[in-house]
Amino acid sequence: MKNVCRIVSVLAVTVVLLLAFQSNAIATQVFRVPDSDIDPEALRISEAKVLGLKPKKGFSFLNQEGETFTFDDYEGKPLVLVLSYYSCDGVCSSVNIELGERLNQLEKDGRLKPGKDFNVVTLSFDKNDTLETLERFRKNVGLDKGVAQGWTFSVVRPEDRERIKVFTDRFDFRFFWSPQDRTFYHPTVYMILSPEMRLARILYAHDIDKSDIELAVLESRNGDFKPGEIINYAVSLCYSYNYKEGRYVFNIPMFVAFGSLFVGISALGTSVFAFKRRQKKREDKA
Amino acid sequence: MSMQTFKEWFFTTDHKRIGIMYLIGSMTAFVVAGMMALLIRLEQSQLGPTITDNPNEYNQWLYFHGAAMVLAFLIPGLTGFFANYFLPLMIGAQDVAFPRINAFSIWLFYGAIILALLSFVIPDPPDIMWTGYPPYSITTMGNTAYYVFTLHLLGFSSVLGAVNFLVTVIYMRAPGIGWNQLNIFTWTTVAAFVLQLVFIPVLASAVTMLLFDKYLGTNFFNPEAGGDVLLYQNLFWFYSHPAVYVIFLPAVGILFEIFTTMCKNRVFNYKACVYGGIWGIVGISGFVWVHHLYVSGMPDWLRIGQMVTTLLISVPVGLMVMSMWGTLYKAAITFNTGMLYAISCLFLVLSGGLTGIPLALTAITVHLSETSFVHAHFHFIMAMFSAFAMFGGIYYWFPKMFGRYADGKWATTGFILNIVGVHVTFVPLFIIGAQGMPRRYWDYQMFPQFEPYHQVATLGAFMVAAGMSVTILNWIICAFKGKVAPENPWKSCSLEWTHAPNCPQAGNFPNPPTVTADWSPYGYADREANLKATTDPGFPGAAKPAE
Repeated sequence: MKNVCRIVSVLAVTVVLLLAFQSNAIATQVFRVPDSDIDPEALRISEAKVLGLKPKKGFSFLNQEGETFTFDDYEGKPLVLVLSYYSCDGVCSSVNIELGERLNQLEKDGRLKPGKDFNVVTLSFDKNDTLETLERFRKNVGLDKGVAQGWTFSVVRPEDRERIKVFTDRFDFRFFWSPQDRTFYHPTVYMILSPEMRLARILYAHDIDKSDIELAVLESRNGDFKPGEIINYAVSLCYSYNYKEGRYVFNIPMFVAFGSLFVGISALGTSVFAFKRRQKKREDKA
Repeated sequence: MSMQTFKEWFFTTDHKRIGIMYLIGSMTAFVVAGMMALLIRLEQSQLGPTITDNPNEYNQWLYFHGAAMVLAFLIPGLTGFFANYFLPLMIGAQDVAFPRINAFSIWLFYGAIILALLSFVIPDPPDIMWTGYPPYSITTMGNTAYYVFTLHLLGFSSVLGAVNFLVTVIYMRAPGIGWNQLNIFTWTTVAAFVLQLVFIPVLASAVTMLLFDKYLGTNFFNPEAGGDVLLYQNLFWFYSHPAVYVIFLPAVGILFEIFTTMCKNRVFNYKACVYGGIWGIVGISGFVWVHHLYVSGMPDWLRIGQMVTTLLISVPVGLMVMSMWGTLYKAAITFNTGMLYAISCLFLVLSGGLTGIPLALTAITVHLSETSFVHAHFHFIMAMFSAFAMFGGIYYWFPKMFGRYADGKWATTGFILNIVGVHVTFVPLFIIGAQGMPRRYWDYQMFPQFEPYHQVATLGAFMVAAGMSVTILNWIICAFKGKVAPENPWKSCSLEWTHAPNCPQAGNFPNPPTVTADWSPYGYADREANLKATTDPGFPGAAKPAE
C-alpha cells in the first residue's frame, strides 16, 4: 500500500511539474483566439482608389432629430465621417467614444473647433438600424449629451436601406456579417472630407490624437486658409501623413533638410574666421 | 608625362593648374555622357528594340547622361574650371584664400569622376536618372549607393570650392577694387557659389536619407512603410532648381566678358544687371522648385504662388539679357569663334526662355509635364546655352591659358555643326512633346507617328557629336601646336589680360596690381586713362596690347 502511495505521489508530482513546465503552452491553447477567417487586408481601404471621390449621389439620411439631410448640405466645411453600426457593442463604441473625447478636447483648447471649423457625422451602414437603435446606442456609449458641436448621428432612410452597400462601396468601405460572431467586420476609420465633400484623408481610429484630426481637417482644405490661421499651417508643415499607420507623424526628413540649410553658411563663417586669424598672424609676423 | 610632372600636377595648389584639371575632368565626363546621349538617340531612332532589348540598360544610359552632364560637366566646368582659372586673375589676387582646400576639392571631384566611370563595370549600375526618385531608387536592383556617394563627393567638393572663392572675393581683391568694379563673371560666380553653399547640403541630406532607406531599413521616403515619397522630390528640386542658376549665372558671366571685349563696350546697365539681375535670381531661386512638381499633390496656394515666382524670375533674367543686347548696341563687333558662340547663346536663351513660359503655367503643364517638350526646353536653356557659353569662353581665354590661338577654321566648322545639330535634334522633340511624346521612355510603340521625328533628332545628335569632336580635337592640338598668341590679343581692359601674362605662373602677376576708383574692367571709352588708373602691369606688351 505504501509503495502504491509512493508511486501515486511521484506520478502526481511529475504530472504537476509537467503541467507547470507546459503551463504557458496550455494557457496559449486554452485562451487561444480562433483564427479569423477575414484577411485584415480586406478591411483596409485602398486610398489610391478613393481619395478625391465624392459620396455617392442619390442617398439621403435621417439625423437624430429625424430630419432628412444629404452630404451636399455639408458643403463649405470639412467633414469627419464615421461609418459604424448601432447594435455594435465592440469597436464602434470605442471608435465613437474616442472621437467624442478628442472633439471635446478640441472644443476646449483646439486650434480648430468642431461645429465652427468642421462638422462630424456618424452614419450607420447597418440596414437594420433605425432612429430607435441610434438613440439606444448614444445612451449606451454616453454620447446622448455633452457631445461636441456639429456632431450628427444618422441612419440611412428606409427607402435607401437595401442599397446602402452601394454608398459604402464608393469609398471602398467593405463590411461583412459574421453569423457566428453576430457582428459586422468593418474598417475602423475616420474619413475626412474636404469642404467640396471629396474624400481627402483616412485616419485609422486607434489612439489617434486630437492633432491628427486637426491636421487632417487642415489638409482637407487644400491650402484654403485665412491670414489668422498661419500658425496652424506652420504647425501642419511639421507633420506628414503616414499611409501605413493612417495618422500624422513628425516630419523628420524635412527638419533634417531644413537644418542642413545652415551647414554651408556655418562653413563660410568658420572659413572667414580662419582666414582672418591667419591674416592677422601674418601681419603680426611682418 | 614624367613622374615629376605628374607629381607637380597631382599635388599642385596653383589655382590655374587646378582649373585645367577641372577642365580635363569635366570634359571627360562630357564626352562619356555625350556618348550615352548618342546611345539614347540611337535606341529611339526606330520603334521597338533598336540597339538594346533591355530597358534597364536604357535607364542606365539615362542615369549616366543626366547625372554626368549636370553634376560632373556643367557645374564643375563653370564653377570649377572657369572660376578657378580666371576669378583670382580678374580680381587681381595672387592666389585663392585656401589653396590646399582647393587642391582637396579637385581630388574629391576626380574621386567622383572615377566612381561614376566605375559604374560601367559593376554588375548592377545605378539606373535611377540623376533625380534618384523613391520608391524606385530604394527598390531597384541598381546600385543606388554609387549615385549617393558620387553626389556626396561632388557636393562636398562644391561646398569647399564655394567657401574658398567667397572668402577669396571678399578679402583678396586687389587694393582699390570696389564691388562696382568687379567683372560680371566675378559677380555671377559669387552668386552661384552662394546658391551652392545654401542649397547643396539640402540635397546631400536628402540623398543620405535615401541611402539609409535602401540599405539601413529606415523609412524616410518609403511610402509602403509610411514614408513621405513626395518630400524627397521637394527636397531634390529645392536644390536642383537653384542648381540651374548655378549653371546659368556663370555662363552668362562668361558671355558678358566676351561681349564687352569683342564689342569694346561697357556693360549696359551694370548696376541693374548685378543687383537686379544676378541677385534678383539668387533671391527668387529658392522659391520656384515647385514647378517641377505641378502634377503632384500640393495645396493650390503653393502651386499658384510658385507659378507666380517662376514667371517672376524671368524679370531678373530679362534684365541680364537686355544688358547683353545693350552691350552689343552700336558696337564695333569683332567676330571670332568665341563671339559666334556667345551670340548664338542670345538665341538659345530666347528659345529656351520662351518655351519655359508655358511650362511655368500650371494649366498648360498638366499637358506638357513629362513630355519631350520639357526635355527639349531644358536642353536649350540649361544644357546648350551653358555648354555654348563654356565653349565660347574656352575660345576667348584660349590664348591666356595656352599662349596660343585655337585654329579659326576648325573652330568655325565645329560651331556650325554644333548650332545646326542642336536645332535639328531638339526642335523635333518640341513638336512631338507638344503632341504628347513622353520623355525617358525606352520605346514608344503607342506613338508610331513620332518615329520620323526621332530619326531627325538622332541625325541632329550625330551632327552635334561631329561638331564636338572637331571642337575638342582642335583645342587639344592647338594647345600644343597652335599659332602663338601675343599678350592680350583681344585688347581687353580686364586685369587677367592687362596685368597677367599668357600662361601665368604661380603668383599670377609679375607686379600685383592695384587700381584706383576710376578703373573699370570695361573702361573701353578711354582705354589709356583706364590703364593709367592701375599700377604698371610688369610685363612687356601688356599696357599696349598687340594689334
